[in-house]
Amino acid sequence: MSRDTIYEELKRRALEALSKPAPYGVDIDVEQLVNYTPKRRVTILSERERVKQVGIDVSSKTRSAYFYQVDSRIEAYGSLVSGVEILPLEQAIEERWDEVRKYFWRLIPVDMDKYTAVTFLKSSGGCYIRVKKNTRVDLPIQTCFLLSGGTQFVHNIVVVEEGAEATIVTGCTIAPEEMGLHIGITEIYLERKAKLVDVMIHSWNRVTHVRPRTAVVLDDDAVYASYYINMSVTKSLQSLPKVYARGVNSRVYSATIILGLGESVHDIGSIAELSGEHSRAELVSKVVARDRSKITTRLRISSLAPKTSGYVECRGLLLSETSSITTIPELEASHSDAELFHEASIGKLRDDEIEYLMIKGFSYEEAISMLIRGFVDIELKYLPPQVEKALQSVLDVLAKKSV
Amino acid sequence: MLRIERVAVAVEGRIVVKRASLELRRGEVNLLLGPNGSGKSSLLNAVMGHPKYVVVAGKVLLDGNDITHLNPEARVRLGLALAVQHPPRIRGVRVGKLLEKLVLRRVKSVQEAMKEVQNIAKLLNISHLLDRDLGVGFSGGEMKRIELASLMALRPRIALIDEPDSGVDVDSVLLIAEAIEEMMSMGTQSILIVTHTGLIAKHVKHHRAYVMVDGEIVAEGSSERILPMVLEHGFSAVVSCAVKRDE
Repeated sequence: MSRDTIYEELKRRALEALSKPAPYGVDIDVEQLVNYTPKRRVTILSERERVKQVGIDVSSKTRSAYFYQVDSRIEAYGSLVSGVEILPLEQAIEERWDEVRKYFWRLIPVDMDKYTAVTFLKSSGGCYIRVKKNTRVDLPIQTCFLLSGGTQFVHNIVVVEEGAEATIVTGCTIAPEEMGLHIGITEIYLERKAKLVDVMIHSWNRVTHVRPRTAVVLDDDAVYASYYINMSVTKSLQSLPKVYARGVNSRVYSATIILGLGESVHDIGSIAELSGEHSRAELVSKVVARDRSKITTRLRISSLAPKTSGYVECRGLLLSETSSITTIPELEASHSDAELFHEASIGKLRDDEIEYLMIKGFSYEEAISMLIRGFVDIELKYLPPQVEKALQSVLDVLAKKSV
Repeated sequence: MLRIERVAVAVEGRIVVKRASLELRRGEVNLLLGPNGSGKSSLLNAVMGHPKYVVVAGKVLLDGNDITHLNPEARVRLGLALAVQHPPRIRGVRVGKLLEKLVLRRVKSVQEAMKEVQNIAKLLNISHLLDRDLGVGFSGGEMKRIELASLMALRPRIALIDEPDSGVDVDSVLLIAEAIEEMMSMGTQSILIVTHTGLIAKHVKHHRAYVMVDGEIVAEGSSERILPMVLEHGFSAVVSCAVKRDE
């Protein structure tokens, strides 16, 4: 099929899905937001401190590649190491269609819902990252998506070739008090023995809607570890990334950490579909709800092949009487030797723990912050040291913001 | 240094300490003896300003200043610290991190704090617990040693230690005793140890003892005199003998 034919077919399907709501989350009037004009246009440099809060230090020397986009404008991109290619997706489509076509809207159906459809039809940026065979990059690849306000429809494709290893740190944020809609479509392909650590840190505002759509496919012995953190008030966030562990002995780890503030409505989770023999998934969510926020977490593992195993952990912490948390752990097995477990809990901070820390000399606020920091503590073994340190700092900030 | 004057303590409206007076002097290790449920832990918690233990009568004076209504944070800043009897299990709060934060209340450098935590951990044989969640899966002895470590991290002027010898093995008691001696050499000026078995007293040099029964201090005096009496005849004997306050 020619590129035009593929585009025509995608366009037809997208147009048909333009009114199709997502099965979960608040339904949004996209058109209203498309017509919104922000009060001022920001740049990565003007918002240097803001993007730093989402893990992007633009002055950092500790990066292997970078891609910075503001609204639909790509401000800078480049690779600092051989073996990692990074370029705007539109450029990759123009210059390497035969390569890109294998990945373009292959994992995520363009007509999944109105958000995928509008992203195809009004696509405004995104990157194409390729980590070449057996390349092992210690320093992270930084990608940053900043929004002045209005809409941002981003499509990213990531390919990690056989035996390659990389870490991507993505920070997404918006100017304060600007209405916005951020949709990020990300299709990730991990070839045999590839490893990708995917860290995403979001910080939005009380009038922004966010609809990431992510899908990942793993070949034999591939490893995918995802860390998603949202630490600010958000009008609404809905996302349910899907990981297809198709390869034998492939590994999936996903940690989702959400701080619900104000009137935020979050519906978030992840799905791991284990169709490769001996594949394994561990999905963890730790959510903290304060004020009048509402959080729903959905974690699902499907064991579709022999000797697959998985673990789901959903933890919720309620900090106010007016917030709410719903956790939905789901396990599905179609083989008798599948081993699947789940744990789920929702609770509040215990008085005896707060009081214990207080009599050790911490203030009430410090005690709460320490306990929340402890609550959101997660397994960081997949992260390279410098990213681990940065993520620890982000979690420290999250804990302080929750008080 | 620390004077507790006719203090009564209530927990959720119920009086748990009726009347307690005692004094901690510079350079002394004092014992607070008493049967289970006599109010010893409640008194210590009230002295620390624990929000649930409310002083409803009397005063707590530190260096002559009334600290009865100060919050715990301020009391720690003034040099008071408590090793509790039953610390909670706290998932996600690592022992090492907690100790480091306590040390950082008096030193500025994180590296210096980490080094000090290592030294404390070595002394109390808890190095293997530093990366673990507080109290989760720990033995009784390990919990007590970590509590002592938290005191050493704070380096208080006055340390209150609640039942360091209950439910622990002999090795732990010896380590705790060593830590108490070390604290005194590192600047802690006065220590009050709550014990109902007296086990720790065999390994720590002590000076005075108070006996608390049914929410009241019923006897006080030289620990050399009171402790053998309690261990030999029990607390009820001390009460019936109505030991006169000898000082």
